[in-house]
Amino acid sequence: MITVRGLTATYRLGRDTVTALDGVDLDVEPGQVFVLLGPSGCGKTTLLRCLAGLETPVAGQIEIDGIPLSDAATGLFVPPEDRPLAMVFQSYAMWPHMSVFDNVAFPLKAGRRRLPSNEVDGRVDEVLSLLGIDHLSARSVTTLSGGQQQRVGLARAIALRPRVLLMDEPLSNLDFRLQVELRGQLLALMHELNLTTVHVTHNQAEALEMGDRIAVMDAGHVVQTDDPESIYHRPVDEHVARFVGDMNLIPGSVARWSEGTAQVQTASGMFLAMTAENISLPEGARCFLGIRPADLVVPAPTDAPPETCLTATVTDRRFQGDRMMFGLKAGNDPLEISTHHSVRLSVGSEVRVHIPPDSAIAVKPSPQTRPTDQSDDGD
Amino acid sequence: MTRLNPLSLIYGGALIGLTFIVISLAGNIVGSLTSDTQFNRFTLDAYSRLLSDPGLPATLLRTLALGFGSISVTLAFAIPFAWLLARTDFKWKTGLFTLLAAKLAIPGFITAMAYVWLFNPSAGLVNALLGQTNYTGEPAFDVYQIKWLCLLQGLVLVPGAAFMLIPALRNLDGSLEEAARVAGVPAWKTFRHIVMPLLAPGILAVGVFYFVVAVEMFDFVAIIAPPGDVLVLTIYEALNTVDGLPDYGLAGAAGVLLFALSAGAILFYVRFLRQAKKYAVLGGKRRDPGLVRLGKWQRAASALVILWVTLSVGLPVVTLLWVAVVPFIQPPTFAALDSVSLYGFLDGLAYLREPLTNTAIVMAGTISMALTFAICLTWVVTRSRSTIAPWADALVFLAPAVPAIVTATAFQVMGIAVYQWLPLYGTLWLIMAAMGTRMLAYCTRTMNAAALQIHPELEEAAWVAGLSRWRTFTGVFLPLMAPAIFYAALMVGMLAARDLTLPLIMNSAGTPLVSVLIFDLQTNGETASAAAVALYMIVVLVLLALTARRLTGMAEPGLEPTR
Repeated sequence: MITVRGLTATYRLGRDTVTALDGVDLDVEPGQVFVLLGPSGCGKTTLLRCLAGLETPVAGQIEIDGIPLSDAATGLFVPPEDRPLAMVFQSYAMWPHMSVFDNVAFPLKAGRRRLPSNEVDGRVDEVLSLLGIDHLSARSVTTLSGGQQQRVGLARAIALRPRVLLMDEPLSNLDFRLQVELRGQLLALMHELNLTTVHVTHNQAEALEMGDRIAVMDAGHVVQTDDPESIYHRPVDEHVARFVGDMNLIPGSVARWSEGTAQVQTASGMFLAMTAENISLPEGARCFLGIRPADLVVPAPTDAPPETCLTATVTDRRFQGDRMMFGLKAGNDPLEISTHHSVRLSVGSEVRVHIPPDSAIAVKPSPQTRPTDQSDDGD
Repeated sequence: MTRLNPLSLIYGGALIGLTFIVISLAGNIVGSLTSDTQFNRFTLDAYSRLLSDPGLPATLLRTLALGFGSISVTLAFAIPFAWLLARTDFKWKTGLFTLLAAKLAIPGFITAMAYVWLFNPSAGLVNALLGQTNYTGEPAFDVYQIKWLCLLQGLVLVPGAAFMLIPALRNLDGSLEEAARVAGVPAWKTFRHIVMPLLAPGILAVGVFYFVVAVEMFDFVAIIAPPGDVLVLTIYEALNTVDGLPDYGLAGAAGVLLFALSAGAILFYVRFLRQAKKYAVLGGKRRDPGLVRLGKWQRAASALVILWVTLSVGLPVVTLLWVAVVPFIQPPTFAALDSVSLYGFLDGLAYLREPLTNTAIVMAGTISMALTFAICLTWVVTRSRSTIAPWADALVFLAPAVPAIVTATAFQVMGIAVYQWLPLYGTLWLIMAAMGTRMLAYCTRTMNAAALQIHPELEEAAWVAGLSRWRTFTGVFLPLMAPAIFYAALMVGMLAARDLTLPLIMNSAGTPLVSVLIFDLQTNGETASAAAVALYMIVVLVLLALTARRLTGMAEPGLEPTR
């Protein structure tokens, strides 16, 4: 459906040329909700804009349905209005001088994919009622709430019956409750319309919930493309592990590796762990032993094999309502543990912690270990 | 023990500033209602004389034609220029910027003078070169026409209009255009249906503002008097009657009419703006619009820039240079080359001695007055939450609608009214007061914009930390405003130095200014000296304008990268 090969894009920042995308490959299957996930500045929005034709790549090709849209080598570049797609913008991009109806109708009247004039009204009414905003039809878009504008933006896009729907952080300007509510509705709608969707977000919960496939990006590269559960449970490297959900990462080295499993030597002992598919961990290489805070078992069951346990000191305790978080220290390595709120451990005491081998994961360090910033909300 | 609250100094300054603005607004009305200069008998005589003049409808029509003609020329250049600067990869952006800023500094009356020397029907250089003058039959060109006034005024107003349009173009949310493109709408339809409607309020604002400026502008009309009056000429002639006694009543009544025209235009705009509120930018993150690649259109763009530069800078400056070195106006022939000398420049220097001092005094006085009162007014309007704040704001907003010639008349009338107590009439002080009042409105508007950019929390933090409001004003507000104040000072200095209207109307024979000197020299036929002094003035003012731009970077609103 969508094929991207070797896509490279740059932009100018003052006198410097910054590489936003560095040889990205991507394959999106028909009907898929494909999520581009990553921190600010990772290139996900640039990639989406290249698909839309709003940015001109300096290298690489883009095809949709086997039709080449952009090929830097031959200079082929189909302008945005001639591409078989539609886009929902982060800012909603409502045309403020038009009503809700006209915002949806304008591309159907003036665009390349215009309809015969007697069909426009019907199409607009149809999508407005599909999204439950038909009662707002005559209103000026400037009087709408964020959530309503977001729906108009979506209506404008799907009224074009695009082959591909592009969404640039469509939920990030809404409040949290509305985000969660709309995620479910959006997902249902996309599957109902069987739309091929490329969805950009920096919100990992949104990505995991909505994506059929997720491409995690970092510094202009796609680091891992997988289904949501594999992304969550089998991250290929430190960047993915840190960015998608919280994970304890204990530094160590590879003692033994065979396809799918590894033994990791850490300061607190040797531990058995799983690995992502399609990666190799050469023996002796630096790596991390990764484990989710909720997967650690404390105190360790008495029958747990000693080689799956370590001893740690409780350093602090944070009550979070349904969960209780403990900060621990195993040697010099800090650990976070999330337990049921009834678990009581006293600060300063020593506890035995069990690391279940099927929940532990060995991950490679990121090529350039740089601090990831999850608090930032956009590119 | 009560001590004077230092804050009352600020309020005091603001009140004095407002008083001056009120004088400029009310002086004409007072003048128009008095039949003579005794100010003790009010009559409507002046209005009946003005309205019964059979020439009045034609005068009004010519005034409107002058306004619309001028803004048509202005917008024809300013819209493309603003677009080139704000939204395209035009190659000569820096050059165009510098030229626009420089042109802003060249006084309009000097341009007018150069065009008279080029195209007057009896001895204009071009007509003489073509051998077609009044003396030989039909002149090839006759500059004394409304259409020439429109062209020249229009050209002169281009920089200001372009600078006003640039922020509107820069602030346009780029994703609105992108959304249309991605939805399949081609580029030109996007421009017509999305970009143009959203820019309309901005373009209309510039159009209305410069319509008002074009109608009240005296620089060109003073030198290129067209056949038949326009309103500013009616006023000027009433003040300079054949019998030598100024007719303040008629001038005042015509001034009120001109003010009504300006205020009407501004009110129309305010109403439109209120309606256009619905175009306000919506929530969400806006995107910088990308730069349009001009490609093969680079040349067409350059050609338009060259056309404007030639007409508005190149031609006048070359003419001045030629006229300054020949003893009388003559076409550049080999015979004329023999008479080339630098005496014009030497004579010019000699003439300059006293006017230069006077101009410097007026500049200094105008800057101190306008800035002091403007700072006080800005603080009161943007910071004080005082009950007079909205009134002050409204008055300052209305002040630019008062034409310069009307301000001049108002201060003349007031000067006469208070002469027995305060003999300011006929002195530089009265010119300073009038000029300071005009600049006050300009300064307050620039400074209000700057003050609104400064987050009030910065001052609140100082109060909470125990500083008095006065210490906060001097220690936080003023330093943060310093760049805006400095820029305003330079601009006011430049505008004060080049102004002809006020000194010409309020002429105080004993204290000539440089601008009046140039005007008088050219009226008396001393063309070489007039051109030389004009060139001196242009050099100083252009340097001042470019320094202001360089030092503060404030002349390029919206052009700083926002990323």
